Amino acid sequence: MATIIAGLGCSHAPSIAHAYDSGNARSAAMAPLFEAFARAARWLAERRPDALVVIYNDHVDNYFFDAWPAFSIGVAAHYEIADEGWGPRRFPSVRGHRALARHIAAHLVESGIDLTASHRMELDHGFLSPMPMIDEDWCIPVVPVTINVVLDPLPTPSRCWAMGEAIGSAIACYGEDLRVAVIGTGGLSHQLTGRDFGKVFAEWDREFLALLEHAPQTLTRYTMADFARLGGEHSIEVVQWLAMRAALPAASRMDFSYYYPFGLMGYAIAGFCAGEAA
Amino acid sequence: MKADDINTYEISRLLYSLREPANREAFRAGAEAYCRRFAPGARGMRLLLERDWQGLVDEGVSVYLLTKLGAVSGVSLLQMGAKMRGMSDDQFQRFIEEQNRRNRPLAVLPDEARPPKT
Repeated sequence: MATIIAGLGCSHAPSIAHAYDSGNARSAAMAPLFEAFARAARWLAERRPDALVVIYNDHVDNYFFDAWPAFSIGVAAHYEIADEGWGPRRFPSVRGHRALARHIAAHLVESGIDLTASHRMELDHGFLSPMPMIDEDWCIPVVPVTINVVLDPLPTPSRCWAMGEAIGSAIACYGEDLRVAVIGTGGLSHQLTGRDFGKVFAEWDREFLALLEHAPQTLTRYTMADFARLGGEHSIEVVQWLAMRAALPAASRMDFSYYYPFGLMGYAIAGFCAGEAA
Repeated sequence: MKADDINTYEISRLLYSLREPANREAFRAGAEAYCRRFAPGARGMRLLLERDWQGLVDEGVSVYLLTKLGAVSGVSLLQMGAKMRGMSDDQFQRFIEEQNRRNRPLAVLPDEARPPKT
């Protein structure tokens, strides 16, 4: 049977990708963040994941306003890198874990979560930004899962939690022996429009991380509008952290969390040990 | 076509099309002609050609699409942000540096990694 061996939450801002690609990861400004990523990567590698379920959001690079699924899952063998306007980043396509993806998709529908299957998905920075640090060798097969945080109506945070829980129970009943890590990307605070453009809500970010550690389910009582008010319009991506946490066994504990408020973002990386470790 | 015509869906479709390199090339060769392939409306056209970032946001255009217009126009997200705040690039940079300083005590980092001194 498959086991969830770790949960990881992390930011996915394009600035992370730019720093990585331009060689600025070691600059004074970005070094603290990349050191945190390096530690998280070592921590994850020690847990030897065979597959990564990555819950993220698309930024109008794959989906468009003709139709936008509340939740979607990639069921393809490979995923191409999206061209977000600057040309695609130079990475090989990402290998998908089809069998696990199909199992999760079927299990979710049986659990009352009607999600959309995508046989072709281009992965944008929501998926890609943290990935070169998380899987340096670019070899662990993935199952991409998206949550709509762009086109109204958006799913509620409590529905995102329920979706995450169903992913957890789907992995638990997958027949093959597989060590699975669940990753939620996005956030934390950022605001990319209006007079408050660039505002970072650091106190709220710290409170969010504390709630995620000690009382994660209380976060399902917040609305998307609450998250937007507390952490800025574009911080609602934190629902991906909620879904990640919901997928883990209830008794999981936070092993570490790093937080770096800098520039336009409250960057964060947190790891959860899911019961049986390494 | 009335002067205040605007079609947010068409503007979004236009900006979404800039994921294709050939379309970016066409846009750079002639922005107005490229925009006419779509039906953004007269006011929509003005907002696009003037790179009125906040004006486009107010009409419901996603910032994730504006970054594609920024990419094709050579405007960074930081420059876009300064405009939306009504600041010069320098003023915005000072705001960010001041915010970095203010928030530094709230950072939680691995031992060997400390935020840079500014």
